[in-house]
Amino acid sequence: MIKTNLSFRPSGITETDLGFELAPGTVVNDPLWLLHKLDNTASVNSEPIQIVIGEGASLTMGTRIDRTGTEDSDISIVYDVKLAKGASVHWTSIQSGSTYSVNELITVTQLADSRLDRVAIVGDVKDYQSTIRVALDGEGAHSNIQGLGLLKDKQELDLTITIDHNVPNCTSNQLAKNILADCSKTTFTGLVSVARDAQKTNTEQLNRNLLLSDQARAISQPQLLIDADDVLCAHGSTTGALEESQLFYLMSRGLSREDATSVMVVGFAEEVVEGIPNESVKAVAKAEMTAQLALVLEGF
Amino acid sequence: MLEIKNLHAKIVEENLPILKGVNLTIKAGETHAIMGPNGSGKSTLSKVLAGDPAYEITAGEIILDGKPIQEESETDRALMGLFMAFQYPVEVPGVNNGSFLRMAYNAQRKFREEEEVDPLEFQTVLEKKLNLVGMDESFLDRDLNFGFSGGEKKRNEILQMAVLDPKVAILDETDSGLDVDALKSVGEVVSALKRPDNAFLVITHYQRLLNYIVPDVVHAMVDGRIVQTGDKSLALTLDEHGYETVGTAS
Ligand SMILES: Nc1ncnc2c1ncn2[C@@H]1O[C@H](COP(=O)(O)OP(=O)(O)OP(=O)(O)O)[C@@H](O)[C@H]1O
Ligand SMILES: [Mg+2]
Repeated sequence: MIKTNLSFRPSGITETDLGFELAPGTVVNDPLWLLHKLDNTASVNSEPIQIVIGEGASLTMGTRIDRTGTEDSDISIVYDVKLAKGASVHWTSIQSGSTYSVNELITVTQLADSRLDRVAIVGDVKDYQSTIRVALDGEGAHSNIQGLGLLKDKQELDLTITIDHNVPNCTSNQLAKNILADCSKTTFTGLVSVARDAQKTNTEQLNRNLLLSDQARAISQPQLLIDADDVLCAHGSTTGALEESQLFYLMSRGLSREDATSVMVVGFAEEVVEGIPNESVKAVAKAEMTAQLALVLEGF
Repeated sequence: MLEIKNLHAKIVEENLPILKGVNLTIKAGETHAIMGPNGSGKSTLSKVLAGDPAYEITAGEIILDGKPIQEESETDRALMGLFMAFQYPVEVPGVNNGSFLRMAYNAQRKFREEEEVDPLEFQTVLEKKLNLVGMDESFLDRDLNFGFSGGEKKRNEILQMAVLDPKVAILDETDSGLDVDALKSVGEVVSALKRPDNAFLVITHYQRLLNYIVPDVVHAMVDGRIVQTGDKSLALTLDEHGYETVGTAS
């Protein structure tokens, strides 16, 4: 069974059968951590965890799977998030644990002027599939989804983001960065669809993959379905190894190859973590990033 | 201080020889200048000296302060006191300029078995050097050379040189892209760093820089070789008459 523990109970929160609701106007700045406690069972399917953020309310939230078991397992986790008018969520997801496969499905519905900022750090996972579907249903809504994957061995990360711009004047941003060592593999599928009357949509999408091994693979599949004509849409994708000229430059100042590699790799990864506004969440994310990077750089 | 003997080098990928027997001896306390037409191999020489793996030494020797270094890694050459200011400094987004400087400084200290400095102590070291170079502190917060103007990149190279205080510094066209004030301050930094136990090698196309950094010896490089060597008056001749008249390699 999956059991979700809240790190504390902010005023304005109501726990429901399947999740919680935050009352309109409530502001929760101290990060609320949702810890998904798992025991050693083989595989788990969670009921959808429903999160409803009331009008004008704002939440800083962190999620992580906390599994004590060491046996192989498959975990399926579903979130259903609703942002009312003017609501906002800063959501940081931290995932690591090399013994289990994760299949995560997140659906987000956003009403007018709401804002979602999600940063996910995924490292040292066996096989991680994440599907995020965002429906921008109210004007002025903004969705910002960033992910950092740190992979090694035969680990696989599959990230699919779908953003539906259903109404005019919404903005969305996707940033997926991955660092891949050994035989690891990642697939990024970024879909943006802009409905016919969703004019003045502004959407950006960037996928960057840093390959630390010849055997690592990164597949990037952007898809844009645009029916409106007054739309700003930028997308890009880069995949490559560390630049030799940059390594030489750093080493020519006395840095060892290991140190030069490490500062460049950290520099690549940090952008994602730096975007986390809450200092305490950022510190947790940074520590996680550093620990996972150390694993990825082991034997490099 | 730096001895280059019959140095031959090629570009690994193209298997193309560029340096075809360079001989050059720079004694401690001296400043040398190399001038030469575009494509004659000046930057190649700088990069080969610094250990760029894109080039392979096919013959010859490089001796720094009495020790052969051609087998040493680029890291170790730097730690042994060689510094090369790049003609085209490399942009490294994601790497903070100030932290990088401190890492490089500490790498040198560690190599000399001195204690590493913390950010606060380094701040004191840095302030003096920033003043000397005439660079604003705000550059330390930025990513290494990223988005710097051409001249700012050159100044940043000079700042690195001032902080690392090398035994042998090679300045590859540091003057190109610099305004007159910056040129003057490069001259001042070199004078401030100059000691009887270090040496400078300045690569330039223009006599102008040599008004600020006065060389003891001037060399003309053509087609991968030093073809003429003289005193500072050679720079004037080369600047005025070009390389048509310089003697062919002997
Ligand atoms: N990676 C490379 N591939 C092919 N040719 C190269 C490469 N690097 C250097 N060269 C060639 O080597 C020759 C020497 O180049 P180098 O940069 O050393 O010249 P330079 O004397 O510094 O010229 P400049 O005054 O223009 O800076 C040139 O003909 C150049 O085109
Ligand atoms: Mg050059």
